[in-house]
Amino acid sequence: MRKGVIQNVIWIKLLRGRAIPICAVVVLLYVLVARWLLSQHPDSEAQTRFLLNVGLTLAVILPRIVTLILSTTHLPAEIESRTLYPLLARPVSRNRFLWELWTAMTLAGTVMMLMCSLLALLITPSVQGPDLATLLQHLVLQAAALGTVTAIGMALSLLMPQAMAVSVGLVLTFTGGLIATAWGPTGAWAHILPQVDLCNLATRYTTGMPPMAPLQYGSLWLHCILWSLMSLWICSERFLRRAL
Amino acid sequence: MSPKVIHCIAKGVWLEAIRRKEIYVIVSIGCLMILAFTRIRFFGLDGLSKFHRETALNLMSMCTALTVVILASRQLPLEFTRRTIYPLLARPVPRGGFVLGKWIGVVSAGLFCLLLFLCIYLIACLVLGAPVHLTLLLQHTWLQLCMVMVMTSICFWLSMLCDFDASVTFGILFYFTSTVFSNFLQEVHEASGPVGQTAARLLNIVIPHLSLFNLSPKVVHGDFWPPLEVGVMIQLSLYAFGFALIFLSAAWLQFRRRAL
Repeated sequence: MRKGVIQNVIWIKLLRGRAIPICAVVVLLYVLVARWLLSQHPDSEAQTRFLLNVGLTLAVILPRIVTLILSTTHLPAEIESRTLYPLLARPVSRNRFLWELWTAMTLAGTVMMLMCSLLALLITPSVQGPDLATLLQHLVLQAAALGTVTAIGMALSLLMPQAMAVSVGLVLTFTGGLIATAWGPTGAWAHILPQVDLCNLATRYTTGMPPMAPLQYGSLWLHCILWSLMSLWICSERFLRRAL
Repeated sequence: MSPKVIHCIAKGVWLEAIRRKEIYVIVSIGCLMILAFTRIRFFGLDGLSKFHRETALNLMSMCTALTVVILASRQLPLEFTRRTIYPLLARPVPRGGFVLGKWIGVVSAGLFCLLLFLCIYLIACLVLGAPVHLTLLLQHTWLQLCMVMVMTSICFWLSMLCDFDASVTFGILFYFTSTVFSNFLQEVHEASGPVGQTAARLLNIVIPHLSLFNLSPKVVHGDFWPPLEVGVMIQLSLYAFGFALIFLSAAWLQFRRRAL
């Protein structure tokens, strides 16, 4: 299989399926609103920080929803529409196919996230305080979190029906960390949930906090890597055993 | 457009939802989330029963909306990709009847999901000895059904414009940002000049406000809030029917124009 084929498939699907245009409309709406608010109160630093925070949070949420829904629906759709057969009839192993699919979806999500973040940074005037290293940490961690979300979505899509996979994926992606944090030390079991929602350093950046300590940052990375590997392993096991 | 045909198509939606066990699983996930949430002691405080009940009602509404978004978004596109629409439309089934049947099927599935949640809520309230304000609860249920109708129509229309993934993404985004958007329009109206105010008013009319269909704070604080007046309920119902009709008609127009 030629390199980049699956990458192209994912981009075409996102563009033709109008997921990217719809996200673009949402982002455009944010840009218009932000510009209007900034024109009303040009000197308010608090408002600028708030708008930057909203923009960066949007850049976290939108790609996560898109990649999650794409990853939970793509494989079952390929199997159901029988487009997987001509792909796997070529000399390509199922694991390689999964790996390329995961890379393609993660990359698509990362590009979306970077573009949205860049837009949020460009439209808001610079404010004093935010540390560039924190921003860099945030953007790099987002790529890892998107990889985890994609892997979880792919695993769920082979474990349960579509609607369940989307629902469980959304709950795990957006509330895992919240549940674990709110439960506190009494509910140690809650910490086994994926806590991708904690991998969002947008507020840390906009409030001007320093970068995370290497150990703390590393633990978030480790959490993402472990969940990605585990989900990809589950996905691979289910996919290899599946009779096509 | 015979009622028998519409009933048959709606039954098909039901059978598919039951066979895929989606509603039960989403209800189970919702219940697990509510259970997990009630175990949390915020700031170490006890006796947050009202707060927990309000959150439970909001989670129920969220899970119902999620079910409806996913069910509604896949109904029409799936018929095309699976090619099951051809034998159906080869019979004397008008396209309008087909869309209406699907719509009734999804709305009734949403109602079933809502009723399942309400049964669980009522049982929990009775077991825990919490007061139940029945009139407000029934009003809340009716308005949630109105929300289900609007969301179903919007997702039908979206699924005709884009694919399943994009339709679900936008449906979910719309549901979760609807309240924020309503509040934002109010802010814009207060802070802007004549042009901004006109734009805010126009958007206020064009975009459905889902927050109007959520009575959960009133249901929980029923000892202070009287039930809504009949006139208000009728107005809210008409508001929902109007939007449902507009979006469903838009979906039907798109569906009618689509080449098979």
